[in-house]
Amino acid sequence: MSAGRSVADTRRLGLGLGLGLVLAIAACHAPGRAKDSPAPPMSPSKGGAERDALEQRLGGDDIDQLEAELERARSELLALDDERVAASTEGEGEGAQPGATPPSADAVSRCERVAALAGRICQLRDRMCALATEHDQQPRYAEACGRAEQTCAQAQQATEDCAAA
Amino acid sequence: MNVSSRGARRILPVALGMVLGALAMLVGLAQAGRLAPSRPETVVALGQLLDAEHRRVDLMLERDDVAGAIEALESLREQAWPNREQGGDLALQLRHDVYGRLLRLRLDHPKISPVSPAELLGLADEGLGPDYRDVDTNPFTARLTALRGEVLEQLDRDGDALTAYEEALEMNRVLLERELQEEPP
Repeated sequence: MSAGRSVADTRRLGLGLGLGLVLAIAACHAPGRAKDSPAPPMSPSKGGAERDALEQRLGGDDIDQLEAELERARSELLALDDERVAASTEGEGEGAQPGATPPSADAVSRCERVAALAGRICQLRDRMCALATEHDQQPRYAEACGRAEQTCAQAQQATEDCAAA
Repeated sequence: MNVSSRGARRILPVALGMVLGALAMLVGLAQAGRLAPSRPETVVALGQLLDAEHRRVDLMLERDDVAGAIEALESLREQAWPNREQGGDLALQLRHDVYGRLLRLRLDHPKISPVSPAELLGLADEGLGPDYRDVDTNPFTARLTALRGEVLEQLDRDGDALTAYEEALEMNRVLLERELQEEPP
């Protein structure tokens, strides 16, 4: 009797855990929230004490403004990187710094971003394979170099495919 | 045992499980930096400051004032950088960007206000922080991780350098994959 009850309780606990997880997942993926945003702004759909406390401190309008500012800051951060990517691809390679007149973020196309990523990947390949040459008795280095070669080749192929599309 | 207490006994484990499940999920998300930063206003203020500072550094580099640029970026190290809980992944990315830029300049211009390779490693580690592997994959963390590898090579720590390069390579591979998955405009 008690063993049967214990099993039933365990099942109910498991059911509850599952339901709790589902509810939490649903709450975290509520509309108004960017799924892959690294630092998502506080969403009106989330509500909760955290937002209430902030609202008390700042006022509702300021919260909305902060949300917009956060999103804008994130966009600007990524645009800034795009500008530097463009400057470095036009300049002297990895060590190049932003040029005199970096192009606007809009001017950096998807294919240029792919090409820049491929450039970084292949630079890392160069460094890893140089280390592999220095440590030719250690298989770890050769294996890493081989993987990097493969990734670099795929990235270069992606660059060519993007340009051809 | 009456009917109501039996019902409560049945419901209690379910309710307890729901609370535990939700808590586990929230703790997991918080550790992954996927919840909203607790101090978004700090991140906004920091973003505005860094925007202005990056532009100032750009102007210095245009005038070939590398020493000034390094000094400006060094002064940013004194910032009270928000941690991941306060500022989310964005705050960490902002920090990785500044430190990556500074480290790149220091590696490219070793004769300007020189520092030892050990100090450069300290700079890289300070910038990356303890939880950089948990940050959502981004170009700034990838760059700083690769630069850390260069510093480790200078210190003849080739095994650690290789590890850093492998990490950076994986981050860039993920970024490339994401880029390719996006719909072309």
